[in-house]
Amino acid sequence: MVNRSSASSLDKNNNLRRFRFRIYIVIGLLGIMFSALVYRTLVLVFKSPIPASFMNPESPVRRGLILDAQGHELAVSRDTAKIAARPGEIPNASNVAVLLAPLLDMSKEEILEKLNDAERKYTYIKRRVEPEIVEEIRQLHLPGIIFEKEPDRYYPNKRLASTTLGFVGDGNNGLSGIEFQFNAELSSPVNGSFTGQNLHLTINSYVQHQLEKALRNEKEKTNSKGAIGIVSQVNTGRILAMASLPDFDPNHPNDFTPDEQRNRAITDVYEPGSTFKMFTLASLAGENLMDEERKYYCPGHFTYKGVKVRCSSSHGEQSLRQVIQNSCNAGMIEASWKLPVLRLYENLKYFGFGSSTEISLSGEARGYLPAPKDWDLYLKMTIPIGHGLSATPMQMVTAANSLANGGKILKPLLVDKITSSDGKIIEKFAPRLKMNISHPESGVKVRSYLEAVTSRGGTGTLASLQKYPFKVCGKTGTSIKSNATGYRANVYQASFIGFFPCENPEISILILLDEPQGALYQGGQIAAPVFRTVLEETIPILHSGDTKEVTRLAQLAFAIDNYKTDVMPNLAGKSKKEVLHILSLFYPGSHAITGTGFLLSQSPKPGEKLTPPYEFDLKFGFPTRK
Amino acid sequence: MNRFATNLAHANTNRIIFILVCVILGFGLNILLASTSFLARQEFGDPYFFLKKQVSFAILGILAMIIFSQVSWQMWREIAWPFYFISLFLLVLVFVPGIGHKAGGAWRWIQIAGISLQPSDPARLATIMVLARLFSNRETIQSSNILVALVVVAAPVFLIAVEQDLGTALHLVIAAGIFLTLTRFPFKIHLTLVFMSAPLLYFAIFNVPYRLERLKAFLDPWKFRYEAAYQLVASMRSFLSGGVWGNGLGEGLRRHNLQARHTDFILAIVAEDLGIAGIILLLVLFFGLTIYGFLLMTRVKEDFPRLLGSGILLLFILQATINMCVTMGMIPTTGINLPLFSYGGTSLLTYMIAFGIFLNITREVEP
Repeated sequence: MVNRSSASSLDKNNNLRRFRFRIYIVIGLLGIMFSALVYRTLVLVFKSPIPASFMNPESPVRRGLILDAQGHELAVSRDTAKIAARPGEIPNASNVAVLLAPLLDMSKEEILEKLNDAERKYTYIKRRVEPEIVEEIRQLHLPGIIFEKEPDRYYPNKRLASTTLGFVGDGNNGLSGIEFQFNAELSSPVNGSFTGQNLHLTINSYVQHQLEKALRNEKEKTNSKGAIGIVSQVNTGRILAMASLPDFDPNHPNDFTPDEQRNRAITDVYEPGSTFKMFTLASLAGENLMDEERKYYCPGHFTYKGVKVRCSSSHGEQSLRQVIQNSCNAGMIEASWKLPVLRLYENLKYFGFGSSTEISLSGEARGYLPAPKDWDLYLKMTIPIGHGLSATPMQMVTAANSLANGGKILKPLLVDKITSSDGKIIEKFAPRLKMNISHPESGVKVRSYLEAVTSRGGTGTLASLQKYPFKVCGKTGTSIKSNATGYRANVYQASFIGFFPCENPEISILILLDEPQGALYQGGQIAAPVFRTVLEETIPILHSGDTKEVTRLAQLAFAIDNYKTDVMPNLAGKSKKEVLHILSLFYPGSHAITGTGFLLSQSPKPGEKLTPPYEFDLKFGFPTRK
Repeated sequence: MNRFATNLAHANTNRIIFILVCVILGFGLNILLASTSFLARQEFGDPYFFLKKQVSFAILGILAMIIFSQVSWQMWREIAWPFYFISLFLLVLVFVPGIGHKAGGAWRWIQIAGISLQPSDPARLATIMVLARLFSNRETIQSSNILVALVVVAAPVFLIAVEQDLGTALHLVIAAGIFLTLTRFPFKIHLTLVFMSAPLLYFAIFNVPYRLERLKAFLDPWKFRYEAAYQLVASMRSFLSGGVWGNGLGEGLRRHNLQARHTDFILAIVAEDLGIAGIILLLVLFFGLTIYGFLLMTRVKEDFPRLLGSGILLLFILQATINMCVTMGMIPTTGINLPLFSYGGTSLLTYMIAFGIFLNITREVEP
């Protein structure tokens, strides 16, 4: 500062000269940076470090399999071929056309037109011809007819898990779901073969089937627009089943609208409504602000400074437990106000609301949790009861699991491992911890309250099991749907989220019915029964805890014979469903199971001595029709 | 303020700079709409959700640029120090509970009266301003000047780094470093500092797990494509998908996979929709604006405005370059946005004000 006033014009010129020299160097450096960026752009487009098969439009390799957790095929590649011709090499075109027409299901004229196009050296006749027909044509030894391998995709279970699997397009590239997300792996061989890598999902076909069946029934019964269900393991984040209705047949994707192809469990958000109260309660428990002694009075609404939130009825004086049991809005809001807005917001943020669950599927919505600065009086009243925010079903399950596993937010796991076509494990995906919310006790507390919901007098009694003595717990929810203009009269979403078994949970299930049209539209009335149905159908498969107990129960429920665990039984001709039951009850272990339908061959042979751990090789299929 | 106000349509104000800034801004808004309409419709039921917010910031920004182009640069020489200390104070406020606000795993935001603000944006501008004042009209440099300069840079860098925003801290270090070469700051000290900072950087990277993860992801993106390199691989896919001419504005498909598509990775959307052509157009606009601006500065006689103007350009082009390098996988992910382009209000406003100041400085350009 001393020099400023005395700076001579000479100094200024010196500084300017120095500046000019330096700035030209800087400009030179910018030129180099510019060239480097242009060069890098060209590299990324023309010599990308991403394997070419990733983007290859017409991949020549056979796509790898998509299998479920037990090794059942969910998507396979058939060895179809393209039938083509070199017109110049065919001496008698009309003869050839007559022979081919019935086999290819084309008219003689159609084929002739292609064969007579003499200007062409090469023309294709039909694409994706099934292997049996290709073989028949091959036997004809026609000159000038050529066969090119062109495997196509086939989904043997039709609609099963379709919205999760997705489908492939004409170039055999995945366009949605798992097929899209793992296109690179499925279409790039790793061992010099021409078959891509196989994907082993965490999905269990049996559970998936039961979930879809139960959802479909209830959707029809209640005349709902859609239905969503998720079954997951609380301690690993594995998704055992994920269903979204309406769904589609991936063998014919073009017959369906994008709306039907969507996986609503991750792409659609909804207002969780009362099911969300479990997270408000957990936040209170985690901050030690749960007042269990206090009585809450509900006059049928909660009104503060002129803002009013309604309750389903006037519940009168209740304990906090009764507030949860009755799903009372007024009591919940009053209880939640012990927690400052920012603390509640942060707790909800930790549960993962407003952020991606990081499931390995594209198109995941993040939902919307308003920032605390936007919480006006109304939101302060509605957010604790699950309104004024939105979440995907997958986010709800991820958050709910943390209440059942000691406070861990786990990323949902859909792919268990990737193997090469010759069976070597390329990549194994372990459960991934996203965050530790670290209040193991609050989960226990919350579940003890949720037990009241499914007990006598609660809103979710229809969820409690009838065939089994296990206790379940959960929360019901009914919300009014909104659009851009506001809440819509008589348009509902009914949901239930529950845990099995309640004290030491292994499984969580979410059921959501979208826009039920009938007289019954509440979560407790229509979603809770689906929860129970799915559980009762799948407990023998799902339950990994006390096997003896399940054995006894399963015998009662399914009337399955008693098997000796040290001798290999004869399972021939039994349905896959039955065999899976038997395996889960008597022979737990790692079994290689292929195909669907009925048991065709088994190893070890019947009567052989067995010692655990069991390792069976079972092949299923349909007896050939002759 | 009055004594610094200048007449409105000053003949010497550079119109080319004004137009270039507006063109970049408009280009950015188009890309923003193309990249966010899907997300916005899905999550907010309104395809224009992000665009509406950003357009209001853009309008505010253009107004700010015009207003600040009317304020004489001499005012900034007077208020450089107070401005600097206020911005340091804001950086400290980030740590105050109730005002500071966490986003994306880092404490970077403050909220006052419902307005959220990222204080590292004005802090970088203020630092350059103080440096320009320190080194203008000087023939000789004393060691006390050097010491003051180092503290002036170190204080905000330290605060920003503690806020877990290493990318922004590095940006300021590099910008200030190059800026000082334009002054009489001794070159020997430069070299010494570069060597001294190496171990610091080592600790900053290897002691923070997520940075190490990002570094690994950068070195082998394909291997970590489900984890830390998820964004990067998605971005590279966008380049591949875009090809030479792109899929057409709003037509690209892969963007559904890209999470920070409207903020840090917006360049990938340019590549996907407009291809190499779009990227080169964007590069020409950014580098053209900067180089043209530098050439103008060589014709400014006064020290302070010349240095301040160059500093603004340096901040601008270095941030853009760092962002582009990240998007194209040339350096590890840092979490820095593309100035005038990415979604975000504070950053946009700061740069628009900076260009307003720059426009005023162009009045000093001698023919």
